[in-house]
Amino acid sequence: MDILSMQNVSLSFGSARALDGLSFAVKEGEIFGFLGPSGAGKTTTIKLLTRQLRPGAGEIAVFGVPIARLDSAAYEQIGILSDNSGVYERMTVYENMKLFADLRGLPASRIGEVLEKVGLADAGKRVAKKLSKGMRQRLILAMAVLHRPRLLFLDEPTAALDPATTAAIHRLLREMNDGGTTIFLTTHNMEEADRLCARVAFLNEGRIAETGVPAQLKLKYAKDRVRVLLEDGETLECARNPEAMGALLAGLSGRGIASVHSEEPDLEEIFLQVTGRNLV
Amino acid sequence: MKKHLRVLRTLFVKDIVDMFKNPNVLLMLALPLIFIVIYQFVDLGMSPAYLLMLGVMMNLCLTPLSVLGMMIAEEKEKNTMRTLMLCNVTGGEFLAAKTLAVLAGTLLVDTVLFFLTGFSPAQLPVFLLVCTAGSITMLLLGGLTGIVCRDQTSTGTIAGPLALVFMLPTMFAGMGGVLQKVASFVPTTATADLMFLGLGHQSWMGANVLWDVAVLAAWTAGSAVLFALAFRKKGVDN
Repeated sequence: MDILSMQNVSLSFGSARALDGLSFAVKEGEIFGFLGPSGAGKTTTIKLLTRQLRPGAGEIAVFGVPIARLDSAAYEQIGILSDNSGVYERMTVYENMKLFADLRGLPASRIGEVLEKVGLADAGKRVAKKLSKGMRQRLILAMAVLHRPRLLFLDEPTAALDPATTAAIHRLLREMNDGGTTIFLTTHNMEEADRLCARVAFLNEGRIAETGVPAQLKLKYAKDRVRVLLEDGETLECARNPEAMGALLAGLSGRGIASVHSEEPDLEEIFLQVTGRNLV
Repeated sequence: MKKHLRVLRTLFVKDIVDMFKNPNVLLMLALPLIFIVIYQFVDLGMSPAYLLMLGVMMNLCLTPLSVLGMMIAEEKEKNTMRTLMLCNVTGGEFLAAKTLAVLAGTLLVDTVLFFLTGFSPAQLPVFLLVCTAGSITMLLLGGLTGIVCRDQTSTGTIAGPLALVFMLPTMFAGMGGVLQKVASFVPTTATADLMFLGLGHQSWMGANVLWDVAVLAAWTAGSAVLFALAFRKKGVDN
């Protein structure tokens, strides 16, 4: 089942076209990566999907219901972490969590559980103003997942975070996804997308340039070459087919092989191939 | 309904606590009290009723007008309002909770002023009733300021001149002439007149009372229309 979909959605800000006939769908239970450089329309797409903006044209559905008809109960099943999420700076970490637990009618026991998962269990009494950037981002994530959302929107969740915090957030996201949460993730970090996403879509100038499973995209855009590194340091290359590889191996005449690599591009290289643009 | 009440209660408690943690708001709440204590200390020979009127006018122009606008703008500036909206809080719930919290703060300061100037507890209910009626216009204009402004700094640009417009004519109405004429059209003067009436145990019947009530009603209706237009056009999270 598609948990959300967009059909021919367009949106302009003045004369600037932000989205141009955008169409895609996300299946329930998957982590869907929405990839593109800054200004490609990723945040605009999240804003449309969460009713912070209205489309100029096209159809948007969330939980199978046209977004204009979505009631507030449906929004209780959504969690959002965006670049414009804020925390109450004069309140402690625990007080911030308690506020959102009370707003959603959740028991206080859930707060400790979530703070533990995002690694903020010992920071409950710290005033939010004094948190580091990484801790603040984890607090915002904790607030977004407090109510165990069915659908979670994450806009660049690990941008500018240290590797340890990023790894902790990735662990939590996988755990949530295992528990059934669908995650819509925007990022321009291809490594993050490769590691987390079941499917990705490349967004360029307000349109989807390519979409698919990362591993399949890598095969599709592979150079069809194999590189063989020999133990004596020499590197040999051949086409990726049985005949060429057989001929290469036969010609080695007893020299040792150190490694064999198929020449698969990473997602960043595929993006460049597809759009002619770099991601950053 | 249950959800609305839960959200309203939670936000109201949050806003009340936050008012007393925010140094800018605390200063605004304390200013009328400091002002009256200093006036009592230097003893300028003002009657307790006039002293109380000065404190209440200052409070009316600072708390509901400036503080409410500032508190709304701060939530925009720090993106907490957006976080609330994305947590299924409506603009109406957000504004209602803040308005009630600021009204509570206004009435708390009014009560302290009332006792500081030495009035009897028996007169408190009528006094608070008049203060509440006078606060409604200011709360609506404070809410309007918060809707229109993007940050706390810009609220001062609107609330500052508005506060002077409402405070000065009332304070200097006693000088007569044009000032007295102008003062009779502002809601703060109507509030002050009704307050004197309540504190002096005078009759509530008469042309002056009707005029003051009409002025308050007209300002409340006008502010409500302006507020509704701004809310409809810009929403709370613009």
